[in-house]
Amino acid sequence: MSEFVSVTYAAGERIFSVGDVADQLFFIQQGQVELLNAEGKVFTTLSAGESFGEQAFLSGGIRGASAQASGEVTCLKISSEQANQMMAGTSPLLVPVFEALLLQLNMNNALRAGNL
Amino acid sequence: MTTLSASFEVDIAHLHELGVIDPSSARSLEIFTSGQLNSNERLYFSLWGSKLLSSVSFEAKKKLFTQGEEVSVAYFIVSGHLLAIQGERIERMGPGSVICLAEGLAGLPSAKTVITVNAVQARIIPLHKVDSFIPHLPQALRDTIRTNVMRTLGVKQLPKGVL
Repeated sequence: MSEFVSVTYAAGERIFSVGDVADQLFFIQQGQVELLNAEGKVFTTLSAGESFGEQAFLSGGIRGASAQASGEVTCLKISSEQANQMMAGTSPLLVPVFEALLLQLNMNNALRAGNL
Repeated sequence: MTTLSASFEVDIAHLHELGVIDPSSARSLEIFTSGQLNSNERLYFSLWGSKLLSSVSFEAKKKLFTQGEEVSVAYFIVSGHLLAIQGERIERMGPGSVICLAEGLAGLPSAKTVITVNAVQARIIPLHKVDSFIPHLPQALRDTIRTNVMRTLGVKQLPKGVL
């Protein structure tokens, strides 16, 4: 993944917000990232080796959560174009599988929050 | 008396109000590209209209999964409602729910017993086909799927040799 841009965020820095156009995918190299729901409540914390912002794989995807650096954090940033290049030539089933996986993730987050 | 712990569904009434009533109509596609749909509505719309996933219907009170059972197929729910039962916990799932995809990708059994409440229309996600192409994906894509499966299941690691 050496062709991807490495970027460092300061503690508390907002990486993206709910409703933003999803044009980048991130892999955490060092540090931690908090994901926040539309109400600004942290619902998960991600660490090195984990990815976030997968809506970038989908054409015209919209951020369903916000992301901010928990402390200083370094991420590899992958553009939608690069993501689409990676997906080219793979099974056409990959897109609906990604979409369904993101939907199941959103569903499980909502169910864990216990909303009724 | 049944007490629900949580529920999830995409707001289909909102989609209808916007004019999204058919995934393949020009008007619906126009609304999809206009940015009026939120994240879950967009995912619902896209999966609803996917020509790559076959359809299936279930009658009311049909058991789709039993807790602890091996998972060989996953479902995206287009319409209707289901209950997912895990011990004392009961969850209600409606349109937009995805059942047993992350579990199937992780090679884990169903964590819940899932039963239809009323007539359900769903799309089938064929896990045997997905399992056959995942090993050939670029590493970054495999890592992304792995991360999402772990986040979906709420675990920090998966069984060895999975994904």
